[in-house]
Formats: sequence, structure tokens, C-alpha cells
Amino acid sequence: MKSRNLVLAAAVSAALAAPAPKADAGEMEWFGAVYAKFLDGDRRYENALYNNADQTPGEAGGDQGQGIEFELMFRNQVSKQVEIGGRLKARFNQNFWTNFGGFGPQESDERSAQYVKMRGVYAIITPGYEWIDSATIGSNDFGMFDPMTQGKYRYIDRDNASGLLFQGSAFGNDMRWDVARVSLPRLFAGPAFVTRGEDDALKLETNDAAYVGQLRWSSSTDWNATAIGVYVRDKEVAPNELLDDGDNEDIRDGTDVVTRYDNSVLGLKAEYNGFEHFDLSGSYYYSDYNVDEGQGARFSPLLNEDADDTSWFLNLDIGDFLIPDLTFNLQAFHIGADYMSVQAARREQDVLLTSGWMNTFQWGRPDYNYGNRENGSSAAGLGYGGWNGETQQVAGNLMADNDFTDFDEPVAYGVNGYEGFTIVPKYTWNDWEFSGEYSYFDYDSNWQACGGQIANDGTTPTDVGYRTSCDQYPMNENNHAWGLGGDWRNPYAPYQDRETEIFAFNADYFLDLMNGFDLSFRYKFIDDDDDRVKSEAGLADAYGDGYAGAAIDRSSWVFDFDSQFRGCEGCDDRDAEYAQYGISIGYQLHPDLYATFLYDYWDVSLVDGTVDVAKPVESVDGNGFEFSNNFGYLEYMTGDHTKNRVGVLLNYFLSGVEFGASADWFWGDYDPDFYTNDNGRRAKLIPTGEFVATPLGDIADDTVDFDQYRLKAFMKVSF
Amino acid sequence: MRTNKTTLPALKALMILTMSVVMLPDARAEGFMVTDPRGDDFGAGDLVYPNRDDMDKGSLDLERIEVEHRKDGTWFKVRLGRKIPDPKGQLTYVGKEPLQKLARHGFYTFNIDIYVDRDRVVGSGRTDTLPGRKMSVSQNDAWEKAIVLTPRPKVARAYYSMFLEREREKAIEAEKGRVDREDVLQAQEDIQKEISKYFFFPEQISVTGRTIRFFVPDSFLGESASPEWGYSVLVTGCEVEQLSKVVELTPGEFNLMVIPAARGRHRDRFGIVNDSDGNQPPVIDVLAPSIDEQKRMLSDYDTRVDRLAAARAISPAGTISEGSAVGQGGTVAMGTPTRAVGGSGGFSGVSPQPSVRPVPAPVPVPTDSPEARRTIPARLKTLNTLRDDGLISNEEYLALRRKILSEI
Repeated sequence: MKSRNLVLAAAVSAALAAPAPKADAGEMEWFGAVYAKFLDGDRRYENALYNNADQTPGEAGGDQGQGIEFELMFRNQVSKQVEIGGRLKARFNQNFWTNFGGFGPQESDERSAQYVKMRGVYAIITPGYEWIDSATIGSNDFGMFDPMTQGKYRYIDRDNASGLLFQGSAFGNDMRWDVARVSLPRLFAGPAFVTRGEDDALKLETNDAAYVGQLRWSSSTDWNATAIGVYVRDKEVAPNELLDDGDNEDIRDGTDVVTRYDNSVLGLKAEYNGFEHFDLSGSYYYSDYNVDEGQGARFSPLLNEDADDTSWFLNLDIGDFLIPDLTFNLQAFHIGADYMSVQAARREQDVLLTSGWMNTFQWGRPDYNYGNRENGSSAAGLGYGGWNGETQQVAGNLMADNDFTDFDEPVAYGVNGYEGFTIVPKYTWNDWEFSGEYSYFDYDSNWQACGGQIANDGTTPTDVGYRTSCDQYPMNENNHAWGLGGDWRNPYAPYQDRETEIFAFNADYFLDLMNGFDLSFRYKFIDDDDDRVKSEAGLADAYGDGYAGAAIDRSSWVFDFDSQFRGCEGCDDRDAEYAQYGISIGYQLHPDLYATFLYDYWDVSLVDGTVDVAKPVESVDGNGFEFSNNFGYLEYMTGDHTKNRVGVLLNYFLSGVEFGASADWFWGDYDPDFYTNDNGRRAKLIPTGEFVATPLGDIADDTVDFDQYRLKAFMKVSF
Repeated sequence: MRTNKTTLPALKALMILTMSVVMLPDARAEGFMVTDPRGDDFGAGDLVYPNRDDMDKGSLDLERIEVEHRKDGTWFKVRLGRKIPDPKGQLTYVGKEPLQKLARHGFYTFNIDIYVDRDRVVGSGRTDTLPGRKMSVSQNDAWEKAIVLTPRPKVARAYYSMFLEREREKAIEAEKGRVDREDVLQAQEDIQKEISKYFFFPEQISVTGRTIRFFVPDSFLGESASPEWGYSVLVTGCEVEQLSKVVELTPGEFNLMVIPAARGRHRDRFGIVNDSDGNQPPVIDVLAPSIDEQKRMLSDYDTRVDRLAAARAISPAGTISEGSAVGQGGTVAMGTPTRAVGGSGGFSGVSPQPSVRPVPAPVPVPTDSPEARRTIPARLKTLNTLRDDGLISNEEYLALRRKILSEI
């Protein structure tokens, strides 16, 4: 009794005691975290402590090693009107414990030298004037705007962006305004992933910026309206300022500039919440993009020609209407194929209601299938499954990079050109919770020859129609999913006639037994079809001179257009069906430890072209497709794929430190199928032997088995 | 080639069948509902949301609380002003983990505290709230049970235990001059019992749209939630990663997973605008009969005498606490004293009518040092109350009194 009362007295006294003094003006507040990661897996790649998708030597992903990072955040209320703050953070990329302090070559490598970097320093000024609430100068993630205009910077870049932000309110806070100048990241914020031209003498970068303005009006709890605009301008020195290039090379009268590109985006949004059971919202955006052509779009997040386009969204949320605890979320959307918004963050999960491609058949770099350790660029991914793989650096917007991801983080998909609708019903009843989804996607980027003229000449690569028009669109690692597998960061294909349906169903149940079991069942089905070339003229244009977009000699594989493609518009079609079934059980094993056990099964059926759309590069040692060279982007994947996953997730919390772990075991198989052009019709090809012969090697018809193990564990201490 | 096209209609049929089964007539027991004015998610009047894309006007605006009775407990359904954001697809601020791993219950942006006055007796019960709220509960609505809806219930409980253990060890050290292992073990055991007795952190939670529902068993409340009880409800932003002040590295108050407030506009804190006082509680919305009443409630504090803003309860049935009114204003809600009866398809509710008791002016306390001038009389008063209520022995009273007076 005495102890119990002492405890109670302590609690009450603590609450009523003289309050611990707040950090007075001038006193620094410190807080931060120590984060450690442990990776293991049976692919045995040591490039980094992340699942990087980069091809740069030494920058690729890894599944091995342990590392630890430290970040210390500080904050100081300098005065009533001024606050400063920042973060000191250790780099983490290749800080393996086995570096042993980084002695030796690692010490001079910034990825492993374990140095601490200043990041994210800012000052917030709150002057107390009626017309302005605050000004933030310095680091900012700019998350107060809109993913279609100025998007929020993703975690890894969160402290990398800096600028000026001014915010205010008026009319009793009914109106709010935000104005920002965001310094343009020169690493990627422009055509060819740079903010400068090709001539270093004309280079200007440090004053390039995006200017953002947002006005929001909300005089009633029932509705609000927002107008937002972004203007981005990339300036360079005018060519006539160079000594040999013009008349006006005298710098004593200042230096003229020219615009390399500019990008304006305007958006209008409105919400109405005044109905008891309905919430309605809509948004409309217009983008205008002007570029000094000639930069090329081969490796670029943006177009190489002037373009303007629109995007819009309409959302209707219905709750407790007719049936209690039954809700519907409906969304219709259109994202123009030419909608360019340099500062946007249009990952799928940022702007769309759909669960999309998450949890489909992918891990790591889903573009390449097998590869081998000798050809590191193609060996980063494991994942038979027939995905298209458009994930890595998403074209048309710049904050959706998949670098520095982990395998337990949802992969970002770009949504350029998506249009369609999504319906998500949800129902709860006692200990049950049901949810579902139906989505239909059409694509604004469905076109032939990138919307240009189709030329039938085909005598030289430059004569083909697709190349003329598609050259204005980003290609990156090649044109999108052409024929087989293919490019992972390009949403534009020369020939596309694609539609997608997604159906999902989830059921969750809380079993009130012992500590309580969280039971979950999930099912997802995706039907994704792309008819690609729709005309005979298109066939000749796309295949007449070989594989679209690949700068190689195609004559070695398109050796007989007539037999391989003539008259068979359906021969290059891609038809994919993904089905996923999963169950999981969560349980509080101990007051500090929660565990989830899960099993998932994937079944993918894929038909992607025919054996005649063969791999256009020479294989190694005359072998077939399994032993591809560096870039295996046309790995053969037609057939049936299955994958099983048994996984364990653990979460452990103890007095200020928490641990988490995720371990997966995969096994599955791939059973190849073969198709060919049979008098203008795609027909199944039954191999008579152990291989199907193609001009560049044999494709084995054996079933391929695969298995994989991977583990990630982390520790996080916040202080 | 195998095809899954035949499975699609089959699964559709299964879903329809399942939905049909579960949408049988819903035999819900009677319940009740209380409403809160819309558009009052600004605390005492000058709080604005952080610069985040997942929080905006309406996100923490409490609109109503519905109660459904089940045979072994109570479902609370809280409706907010905006759709509740899903942690799926989000990452933590520190350490870059999928937020869904931390916030497993489908939400991550808010906490809702419900302090329940069951006996409706003035001064009977507790008046404190969890750390970080910077509020108390009115003596007239002193509570016996607290329901704490938070995205990480187990973690919140663990943090609170850690905080109480630390305070307890300080008290033991102040009393005895040392802390032995037996003291620590006994304190831990007592703290767990106390927390289990007074607090419940729901784990059976589901989120649909703007509504979050959570289950509280009768084994905690003693019986199904009654409209006769008083409910003090606070809504705060949730700092789901608990970044600040877990330990006392720097001076400052420990807060239990609450997003604090500071002048200006910030990414990680609620903003205080219009040059308003920085000591106001970071409580975004409280259950109150009117917007003016909420503003008065959250503005009525005095740091000189260590008086926190006091939440006042709403009683759906309009019950009034028995006994002499103590300190600040009493129960506010004096709705029509009828019990709302629910049934399949919805509930009727009682909208409480505003009724405010006059708040006595704070008492200035003359002492020598500025800190003592602010704190000592209030602490001595509290000590008296603890002794009078039999919560501490006379020896403990004398020891603590000596300690407080030694600070003069």
C-alpha cells in the first residue's frame, strides 16, 4: 500500500511539481538518433548498405554487412522571433563495420570514410508582423505544397533542398499564403539530369530556382480552395558573351543570359466536406514546358521539346451511407503524358488512391532478371516475374528516386500518362475489417510511333518514324518494355496500346485469444495488356530495322522481317496476369516483442512477344539468354512464373531503443513458353528438343528453379 | 498456359457473398453520441498545423464520438474533419523505416485521450493528464479511468512506464539518499499495476475514411461506457517517432508522443501565430460545447501559480458532479438529461448545451524567490489534498513538506 501510494504520489507530484524549465532563449536543445543496420542474404553483393538501383560502379545495391549512422539535431530559440536548427549526420552508404574505422583505401572514399556532414541547417524568423507569420531560410523539405507541383522531398533528399519560404495568413486565418524560392538541384533538375548546358563556359547553376506560390482560402469548415503555381527557370550565359562567339563579349556591361528551359505549372484545388456522408475534392493542373532543344532526351527526366498538358483528379469519399461502417473511396484521374513538372513528386502512392504495383513481383532492380557476378550491372536483381520495371528514376518528376531504398520499402512507380479510375470499398464489423479495390488504367501515352508519323522506309536508323518522334521523349536505359522486359525508368514506349485492371481484396480479423492474434488475408490480381504495334506500317517502322531504340546493329537478329513479323500485328503483344495470395498472423509474443509471420504466393502468366523478338546483343560463350552480358535488358521471360515467400517480421521495443527485423525466404520456378509468327498469327511453339533456337543463341525450355534468402535488421535509439 | 482469368469472377463472387453475410442485421446494443463543434482545431485559438502534406485544417478536428456497446466491452467511434492518412507508403523521419512498421493500426498523426469520470463525485479521482498535454482535468470531473488512443499503444505505455520509473527513483533518492535494487523492482511492479488500473491503450483499432474505432473492454472500464459518466477528451498531434525529450539530455518537459507547439510555422511542431503565448497547451481540439468554451478552457492557465488549463467533462446524459465545486470551473456540458438510444443503422445523440461556471481569479503568492512565488503554495495545497484523501501517510506528508519548504 505504501509503495503504491508512493508511486501515485510520485506521479501526481511529477505532474504538479515545479515544471522543468523550458529551454530558455539561448539554450541549445539537442536530440537525435543512432541507427544501425544489419544485412544478410544469399546473393552476396557488398556494394552498399542499401538496395540501390544505380549502375555506377560501387554505387549499386547490396545485401551484406553491418553499418551504423549517427545523427544529431540541434535547435535553439535565439530570441522570441528567431529560431535556428540543423542536423549533423554521418554518411552511411558503405560504412561497413568491417572497414575497421576506414583505414586504407576506404578512408579517402566518401562513401565509407564515416565523416559527419552538416545537413539541414535553417533559421525561422517570426517577426510578429500582421502580414507574415514566419520566414524559413535554409533547409526544408517543402512538404507544405502539392505533389503535382512542388512535391515533398523524399527521405534521402530531405535535408538536401534549401530555399526561402515565407508564410502568412489573413482574414482571421481564413486565408493562408505560402511563397517559396527553392534552389534548383543541379544534380538532376533539368534535361539530361543537369541544370547547365553542354558548354562549360556558359554554365550557370547557382541562381537557378523554382518559384512557388500558394494561396488557400477556407472561410468555412465545409470547403476550401487552393491556387498554386510554380515557375522554374534554368538560365545559362548567352552564347554571344563568349569571346569568339559574338559581338558583345565585353563583360564590363554585364553578362546576358538565356533560358535553357523553363517550366510553369498552375493548379487549382477545391474540397467540400459539408455533406454528412460525402466528401468531394477535385484538382486541375496545367503545365507548360519550354526547352532549348538539342540537349537530347536519351538520359533525361524531361522531354526534349516544348510541351504543355493537363492533369486532373476527382475524389469522392462516401462514409456510413445507408450502411454503417461501410465506406467507398472513388477516384478518377488523368495525368497527361506531356505533363512536365520538374519539382513534382509524382510517385504512385503520392497521388493515386490505388495500391498499384506494390507487392507485385519485384525486388531490387526489377529490370534485369538473372545476370551473373562477372557482369555486375545486370546482377542486381533477382525476380523472375514478368514486370515492366518502370521504377528507378521516374521520368517527368524528380523526387521519386528509388536509390537508397531497402527491400522492405515500397518501390516508387512513376505515373506519367496514367488515366482511369479507382474504387476502394471498406467495411468494418466488430473484429472484422474488409477492404477491396478495383482500378482501371488507360494510358495517355498510348500511341503509335510516339504520336508521330510512321515511316516505312527503314533503310537507315534515322529514317524510321518512331525514332524521329520518340527522340523527344526520355529513353534512359532504352525504350520502355520493348519486346522483352526492358527499361525500368521510362514510362514512354514508341508503340503502346496498354490497359491495366487491378482487383484486390483484403480481410483482417482480430482473434481475441490469449494476447490477441491479428489475422490477415490478401488477394491481388492484375491484368496488364499492351498491344503495342497496331498496324502493318508500324511493324515495319518498329522492327523493320531492328529493335526499337537500341543503338546496335540489328541485322544480326532481325534477319528476315517477313518471316519474323510480316502480317502479325499480334506477335509483339504483351499480356501479363499477376495473382498474389497471402496470409499473415501477428501476435504480441512478449509485452516488448511483436511478431508477424506471413506467407505469400505469386503466380504470373506472361506472354511478351515471340521468340522472333530475340535478344539483340551477343550472348557470352554462345549461350542463351540466361548468361547475358552486361545489360541483359531483353531477358526472355515469357511463360509461367511462381514465387513463394515465407517471411518473419519482428518489432521489439525497450526503454527508448527499438529493434526491427525482416527475414524472407523465397522459392519458385519459371516455366518458359514460346510463341512464333504462324502466317500472321501468334501461335504457341512447342519445342521438340531441349532448346528453342534463335539467331543469337538457344533458349532452354527447361523449368528454372530459384530461391533466395534475405534479412534486414535494424536498431534505432532516439534521444 | 495457365490463366487466372477464371479466378477473377470466383473471387468477386466470394467477396460479394462474404459482404452479404456480414451485412446481416446488425444487433448492436444501445449507445450514445456526443458532438463537438466543427472547425475548432486550433487549440486556444492560435495554433496552426505543421508544414506537412499529411496534416491540414480538419485533420485533428474532433467532430463526434459515438459509443456502441458490445457484450464484453465498448466500441468508441471517433470522427474527424478529414480523411485519416494511412501510414502505408510513408517513411520515418529518422532511420528511414516504413512507417507502417511502427504505426501498425492504420493511423499515425494524432492521439486522443479520454479521461472518464465514472463516479461523478467532485474531487474523487485524478486530475492529471499524460505528460506533454500541459493540461489538467477539472477537480469537478476528476477521472478514474483514462483511454489513450495512440498509434503505438505498447510503445506509449513503455515510454510512460520509463518516465514514471525515473520520477519514482528521483523521489526515492530524495527521501532515502540512495536507490536500491529492491526499490527499483518494487517501483516497477507498482507502476505497472498503477498504469493497468488507470490507463488503457487500445490495440483493437480500425480506420475507415474519417472515422477511427477502437475497443475498450469492460474489464477495464468496469462496465460498458455509460452516458451518465463525464468524458474529458483531448486531441493532440502524435509524434510517432518520439524524437524529442525521451531522456533529459537538455532541459525541457518530457512529453508522451505529443507534437509540441512553438511560435512561427514549423515542419515538426504546431505553429503559434498572432504572437500568442508560447505556454499554451499543444492540444488541438477538446470536446467542448462551443468554440468559445474551448478557447476559454485552453487559455485559462497561470504559470505563476503553476495552474494548468483544466479540461471539463461532457456528460451525454447531463449528469452533474456531486459535492462542493473545487477550483476552476466545473462540468460544462449540461445537455438535456436523456439517454440516447441506438440501434441498427445509427445513433441519436445529445448535444450538450453550454453552461460555464465562473472561474475564480488566480491567487497571487508572495514569497522571496521568483520560482517559489510561482510554485510553492500550489504544491503545498496539493500535498494537503493528498494527505486529506489518505493517499499518503503523515510521515510521507511531513517529509515532502520539508522538501518543498527547503526550496524557499
